[in-house]
Amino acid sequence: MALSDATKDILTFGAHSRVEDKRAELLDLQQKLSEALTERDAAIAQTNQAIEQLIAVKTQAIGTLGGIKSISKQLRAAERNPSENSIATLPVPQLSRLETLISDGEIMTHARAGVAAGASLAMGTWALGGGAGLAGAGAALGASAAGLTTVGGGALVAGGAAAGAFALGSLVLLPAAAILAIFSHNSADKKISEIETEIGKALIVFEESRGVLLTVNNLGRRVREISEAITKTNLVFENEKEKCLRRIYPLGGLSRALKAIRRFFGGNYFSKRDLDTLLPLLNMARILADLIDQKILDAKGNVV
Amino acid sequence: MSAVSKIGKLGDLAKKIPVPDVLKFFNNLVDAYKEGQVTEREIAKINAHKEVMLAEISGKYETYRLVFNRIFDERKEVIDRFFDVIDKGVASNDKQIILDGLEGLSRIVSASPFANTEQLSRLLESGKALEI
Repeated sequence: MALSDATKDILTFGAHSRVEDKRAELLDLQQKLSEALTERDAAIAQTNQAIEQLIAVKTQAIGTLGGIKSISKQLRAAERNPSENSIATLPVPQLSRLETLISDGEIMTHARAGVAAGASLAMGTWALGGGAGLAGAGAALGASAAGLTTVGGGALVAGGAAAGAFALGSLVLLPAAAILAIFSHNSADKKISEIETEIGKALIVFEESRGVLLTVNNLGRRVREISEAITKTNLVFENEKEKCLRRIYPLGGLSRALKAIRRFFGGNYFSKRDLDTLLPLLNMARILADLIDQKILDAKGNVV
Repeated sequence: MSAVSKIGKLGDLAKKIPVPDVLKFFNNLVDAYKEGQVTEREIAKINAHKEVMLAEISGKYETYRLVFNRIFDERKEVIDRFFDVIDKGVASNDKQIILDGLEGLSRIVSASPFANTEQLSRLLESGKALEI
């Protein structure tokens, strides 16, 4: 015959009640946990927006850089002609890098056009991984997408990754092993054991949610920082590019034709004055390219 | 349930028990009391552990949050200063000033704010005082 709660309470001098009260106290922890998860999800949504913004900013900057493709083409042609020594001072090796970056960016922009809503995983990879880290960051983003259901967070990139799997290096607030070691079912009492298990699990989720919140907030700030720097640099570069092009091609198409004729007769396409004008612009292009290429996630999904 | 009514119920319960078993009943009662005491101590211990761990998680989270906020705030100040340099260069149409500003901006942005996370983590674990 099952004993009533009152009888159990009498026989154990109130211990049964105290265990039940303790179980009810767990609800306080659940409330704390629920608030932490809500805060984490809000941070993930904000960081998603920041990444969308970064993708837009990078795409725009790639478009601006694309405007110097024709100049780059002429300079690279000159590079192949050893007699044109006047461009030796220009950072010509940077040109191939610029062209690759523009090309990658254009491919990504076209890829985005094929995605119905939001940014694709590929775009997120491109925006966060930087040129050099594309493959590794792609894997990390893919792994994060797989982790979406386990952390219950929102998508970091729409149709793409969850923030839960990202990390700030070795930063851990409290190792899960340490929590489990404490709440490791030492009690002979089944109810106490159950409570221990529940508290242990809740604490692990709480720790994880705080860690994710920290990571995602920092990722968001880093993304916004880079977005602002690219936006500013892109604006300056675009203005300087317009001035520079007006100076090099004052007569538009006619100036281009005259330069082509000069080259046809064995002269340099760009004059010394043109090259002096181009040098600062190419340096600005290099800086803009560095910012566009800035890696935010490494191959392991660490925020760097 | 009040203590008086609890004792009353206990009396009612005792009446239903055969006399030879009364001694065994009270022995069981003493055991139950001891077990209750053990349970109470276990509950208190669990509660203490829970509170300590919550405090540790929340405390570390708050410390890291403050440290990173400080790092990002400082970077923002430096970035804003480079923005000013760039604006001055644009206003005076001085390409060298613009380039200097852009180089500085690129330098600060390419330096990771998380480069010293591991050191920071070790410092926090060591329990040494942290100046931010």
